[in-house]
Amino acid sequence: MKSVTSRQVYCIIMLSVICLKFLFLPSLVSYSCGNNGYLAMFFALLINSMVLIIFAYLSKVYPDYNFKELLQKLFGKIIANVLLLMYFALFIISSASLFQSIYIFLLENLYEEFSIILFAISMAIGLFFVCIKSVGVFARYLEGIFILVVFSIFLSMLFAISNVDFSNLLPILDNGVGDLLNINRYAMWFGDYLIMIVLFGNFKKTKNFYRNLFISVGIVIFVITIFYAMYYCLYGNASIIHKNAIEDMVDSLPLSSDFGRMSWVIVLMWSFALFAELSLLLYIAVTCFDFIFPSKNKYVASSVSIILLILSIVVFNFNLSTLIDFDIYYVRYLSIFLQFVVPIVMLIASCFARKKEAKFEIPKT
Amino acid sequence: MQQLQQKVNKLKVELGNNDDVIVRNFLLNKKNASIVFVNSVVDVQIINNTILKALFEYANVEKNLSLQNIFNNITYVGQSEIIKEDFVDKIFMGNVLLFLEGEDNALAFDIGKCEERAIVEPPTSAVIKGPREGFTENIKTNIGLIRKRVLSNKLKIKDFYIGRITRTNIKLVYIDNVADKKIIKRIEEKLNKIDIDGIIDSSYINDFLAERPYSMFKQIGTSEKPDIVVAKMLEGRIAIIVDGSPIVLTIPYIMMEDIQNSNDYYTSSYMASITRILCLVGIGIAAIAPGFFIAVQLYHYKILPLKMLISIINTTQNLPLNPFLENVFIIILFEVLYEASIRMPKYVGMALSIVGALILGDTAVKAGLISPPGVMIVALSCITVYITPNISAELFILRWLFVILGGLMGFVGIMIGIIILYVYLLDFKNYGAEYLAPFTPFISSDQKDFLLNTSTINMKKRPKSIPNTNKRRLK
Repeated sequence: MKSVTSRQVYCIIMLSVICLKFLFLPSLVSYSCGNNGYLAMFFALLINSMVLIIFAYLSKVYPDYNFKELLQKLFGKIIANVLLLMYFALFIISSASLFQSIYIFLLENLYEEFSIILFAISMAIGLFFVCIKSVGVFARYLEGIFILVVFSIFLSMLFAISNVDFSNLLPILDNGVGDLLNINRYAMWFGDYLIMIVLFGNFKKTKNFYRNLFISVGIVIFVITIFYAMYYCLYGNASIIHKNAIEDMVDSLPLSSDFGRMSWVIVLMWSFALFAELSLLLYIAVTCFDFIFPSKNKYVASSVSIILLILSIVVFNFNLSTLIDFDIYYVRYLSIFLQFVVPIVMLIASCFARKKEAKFEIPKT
Repeated sequence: MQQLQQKVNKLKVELGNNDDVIVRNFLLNKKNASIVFVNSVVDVQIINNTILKALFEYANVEKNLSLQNIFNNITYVGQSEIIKEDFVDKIFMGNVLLFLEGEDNALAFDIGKCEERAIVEPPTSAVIKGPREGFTENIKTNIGLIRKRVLSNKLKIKDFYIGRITRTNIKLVYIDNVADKKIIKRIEEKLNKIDIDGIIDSSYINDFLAERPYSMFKQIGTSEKPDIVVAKMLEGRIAIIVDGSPIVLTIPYIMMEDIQNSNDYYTSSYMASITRILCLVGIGIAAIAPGFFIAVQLYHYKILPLKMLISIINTTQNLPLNPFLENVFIIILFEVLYEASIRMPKYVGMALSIVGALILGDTAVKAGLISPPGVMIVALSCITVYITPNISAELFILRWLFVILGGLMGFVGIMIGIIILYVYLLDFKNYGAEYLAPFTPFISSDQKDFLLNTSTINMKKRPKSIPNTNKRRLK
């Protein structure tokens, strides 16, 4: 049964694109691309959105197929399972990185000290409860969180707008377009649109669905670009050291101690957004596991995924830098393969499959 | 004669041989007759002045006396019928049964009467503007209050008698062509399955009708006001009225119902919108404020403005209890006072308020056991619970939950608690209605009567959040 509405699909995809772009990434992009980071981000997001076009085409051609059925139809059972296993591994690693990032984000902004074990237990309970739910419930959960995300981005930009200095953006592309290419080091392999793994075959299409979907993604790209531009306007060359972008934007507003730190509002709201993103990544992993080892409910898949997530953090000795290094040097190749190569091959295979089907179709008399 | 006497005696035994069971034997035009009734549930004046008088007058002129003839010729305003069985039930329900020699059937006159209180404004749903009538314990009066507002043959009423001993009358009331037939069928099935010795109040059948009987969240709507019940029925809900209870149940229930107040529809829509937003904020404060305050004091004091932080430190630095225990102590103190004030006689209530607020609260602060900010936060939370009195029980439990989570893990605990709660409620389907609708799933057409209450002119369609079969409301 198709339990996700079109509006929820827009929200989920927008959330998936937004969540990881507003925290550490602006400073990382600044490290590679200087103050042209916003342009680099814009092009990176545009290139990334090609994946959405492929997935949109596939969902249009095979509206009733879920991701597993689609892979099996195009590549056969064995390859499909191998690919799903790779997707599962990718999302477990991605979840582990985000898990560790959330811990550091909270430790830097809210806590003096906080036991990682207590944090892991509480997060594991929360994630388990979310991941065992059906796609419909999960979509509605993200739809609700999306309002918080939009509100916190709006608030953050509103606080910062009075302090932006546009001269920080100049000169534009002083090192040529080479700056723009450096972005692929960080932003090209997030797998924003791989959420379609969960959504394939589960969503209802209303009139103008694809048009609205692309408009939504266009708006998100525009907002992210504006945010990055504002961020570089605020901090210029010092952007590298401001690692919690969305929160640091608010702190740029000089307030007397009578007001306290206004950024805590953003920190609290963004914590929900980060948890939503983490549950989104883990939900994809759970779905992949469930495709490979189907069971009546998602209890086994969720338990296995969460255990593996915790184990991978333990293996990296609770160290975010090691995890990110591992991501950059190894996982990104897997990610690029799964995010770009596989969809392109799927597209080609689907074209062949359709031609083949058309050949054997009995003409109507 | 003997046959009739035996039959009546047997019936008396079946009625429990009670003293309020009255059997009166007499001759109707030389034919033996008996009437049987329970004098505590019927109007004896009607028996004497209307039924018996008419019977004897008719018997004097009619020689061929039979129940069918009497039924056809005696004019009685109330309901009467010839029955073949269920004599006992009919008598207990307020009927007088007339038996005639040589006939197995009985003629039943419905003259049920029960002492009842007046129709007054219910204490839990007071309004500034709008109707002030409230339901009573009498089911007939309650049906009358609804009928008064729905002068249409579309109003349907179905009877059920539940309770092996009490045989309580339960009425299923809905508006035909508006209420969803599937929901009506499901409720009927659930009601028919109830096999309990007695139903004393509508809350008894609450658990039987709930989709998740063990959930702490309210699943059946309740109201004491006929205008609210009719408004709900016009949206597609089904009302269940239980004899002996002034609380009418409505199904399906969505959480937003308790934020909507009958006042909203009788005052300006702008004012109603503000009230609803305040209600929602109130729910948040009631459930989370003490837990959040504990979390801030224990883990996140960095987020407080400097002056506020200094002020809190000054008042809490010499306390013997840590913030968590201090707040737990204050909440327990408040709850004890609240429970005592409900159960105490009214004239002691005043004294209790003085003892609670002045002696206990003030002295505890002065003695350095609790801090003024703690008292203020808990008091605020406890007061805001009663902005939405219908979900006060849920808010009470949630407050404890968030106090524990906030004390244990700070904001992360509260966040996980909120997410689990939110996802749990998302998964909650109540007779086809999503519990958190129209917020999520987001139903744009229903936003006209959600947080922002717009004018009635704009509400052209019935809410999609409640399953119904007739979408258009305003033509």
